[in-house]
Amino acid sequence: MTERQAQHDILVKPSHDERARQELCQAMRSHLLGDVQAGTETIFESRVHPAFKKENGRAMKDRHEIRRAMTPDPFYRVFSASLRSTQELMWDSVIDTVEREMPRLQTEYKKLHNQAKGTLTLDPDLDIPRYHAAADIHLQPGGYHTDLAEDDLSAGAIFDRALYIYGDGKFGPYSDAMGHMVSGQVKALYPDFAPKRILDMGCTSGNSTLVYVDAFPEAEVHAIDIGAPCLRYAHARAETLNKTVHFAQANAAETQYEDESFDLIVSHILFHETGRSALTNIMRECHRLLKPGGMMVHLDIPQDRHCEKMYESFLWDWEAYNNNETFAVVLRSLDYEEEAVTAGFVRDDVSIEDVAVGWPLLVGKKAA
Amino acid sequence: MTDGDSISIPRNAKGKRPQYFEDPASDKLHFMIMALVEELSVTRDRLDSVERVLERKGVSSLADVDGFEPTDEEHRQRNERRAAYVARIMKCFADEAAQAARADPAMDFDEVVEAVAE
Ligand SMILES: C[S@@+](CC[C@H](N)C(=O)[O-])C[C@H]1O[C@@H](n2cnc3c(N)ncnc32)[C@H](O)[C@@H]1O
Repeated sequence: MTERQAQHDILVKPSHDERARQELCQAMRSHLLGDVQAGTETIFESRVHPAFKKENGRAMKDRHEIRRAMTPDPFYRVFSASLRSTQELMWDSVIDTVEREMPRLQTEYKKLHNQAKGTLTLDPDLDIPRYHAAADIHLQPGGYHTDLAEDDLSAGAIFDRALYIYGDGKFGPYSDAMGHMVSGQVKALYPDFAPKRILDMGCTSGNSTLVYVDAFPEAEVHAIDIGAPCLRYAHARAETLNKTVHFAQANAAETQYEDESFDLIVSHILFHETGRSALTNIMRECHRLLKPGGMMVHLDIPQDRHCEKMYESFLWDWEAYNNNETFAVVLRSLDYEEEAVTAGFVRDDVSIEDVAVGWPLLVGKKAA
Repeated sequence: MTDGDSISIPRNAKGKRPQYFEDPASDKLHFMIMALVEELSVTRDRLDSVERVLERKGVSSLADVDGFEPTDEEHRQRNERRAAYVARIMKCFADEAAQAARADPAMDFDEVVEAVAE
């Protein structure tokens, strides 16, 4: 059994019926992504691919051909429409809870902020990148960045509750499994590495960020994001969980930090929610910010080359075409190592590590 | 924002929604079914809560139900029951996949008519 979501003062508490809706969305996702998704492969093997071979006299050559052939298939259509609708219902039910809970959360936020050990630095003039403003990523209404009121923290509150439902609890009671994956891998690869300053890029509600506070107790932990309402929430969440973190609103492609000011820079599924030029600039910024001998470690979803089966790779594109995670399609075919080299890292100091079921970690060490 | 202020959060995500079916009305119909599936589950959950409260206390009030908190074991049972419910609603997928996996494909209706007419 997956553990229940860990409760704390800044997490929203669904009412009886809100919780029932949210847990239904969880069960629905679990079933759709289990049996039904497996069924789509049976459909592909038994009728879609054979029909394609008959018509073209050859097998399909990439995941895009699979997508073009599967999209009109009736089985796949209902699967996609169901997963999409579930995503919409999930946000709606979580927003019910957040709207109802907001007055309480505001009071908690002020209390926590006034006695904070960590800091929160916002930049109201920060430009919201076009890849966020163009469409709401994974259908969260208003995205990560929309401020709805003074001291708004709704986007973070929504995300933290929804992440648990979306992941069916598999990211753990604190939804921080990705932080554990990355920090664990850093420790396994470099047992003697003792970073003094750590930066987490694209922290959202700070779930992964907090792992570094415990994993590297000697280090000062910093975290940035584009979205102010996420950062306010992350700040309050860190404080109530008694972890000292310095949060700042910044674009990872162009931060306010000094050259060579961090030993370790990490990100957890940030890349696929950015854009082509942003990715290059983020890696350049990592190179600028790292001390000589410092390391950047980025975790993201499996790339095309990491998928054993072409069909599996096609499935990983679902979120791009149906859930506004559009850049994922491009990212999944990019040469990560080449990107890092373009950004200034030496080829031999760049590697791809496989942390779990094909989830790649891009590790880049800045030349000492 | 001052303490106690409520807030209105947008309910619609920016970006074009894909059309999954030939007739856009089918997309709406499908969404309605999904929402009904959700609400039916809510009702069933609520009833479950009432039943358990009754069982535990022998008396029931609305406040009892609203404050209902399943134990870990009750929570597990509820998840199991919910998963079975979802599987039932989605049985059309299982059926079609089972058909597709068959060595001998199902006959068309007319073929069956012919077969039974023999
Ligand atoms: C999928 S979420 C990351 C989840 C989080 N790291 C975790 O482990 O739970 C992606 C986040 O990256 C942020 N983001 C996207 N582009 C960014 C950029 N250029 N600079 C800083 N943050 C960015 C988004 O606002 C969003 O909060």
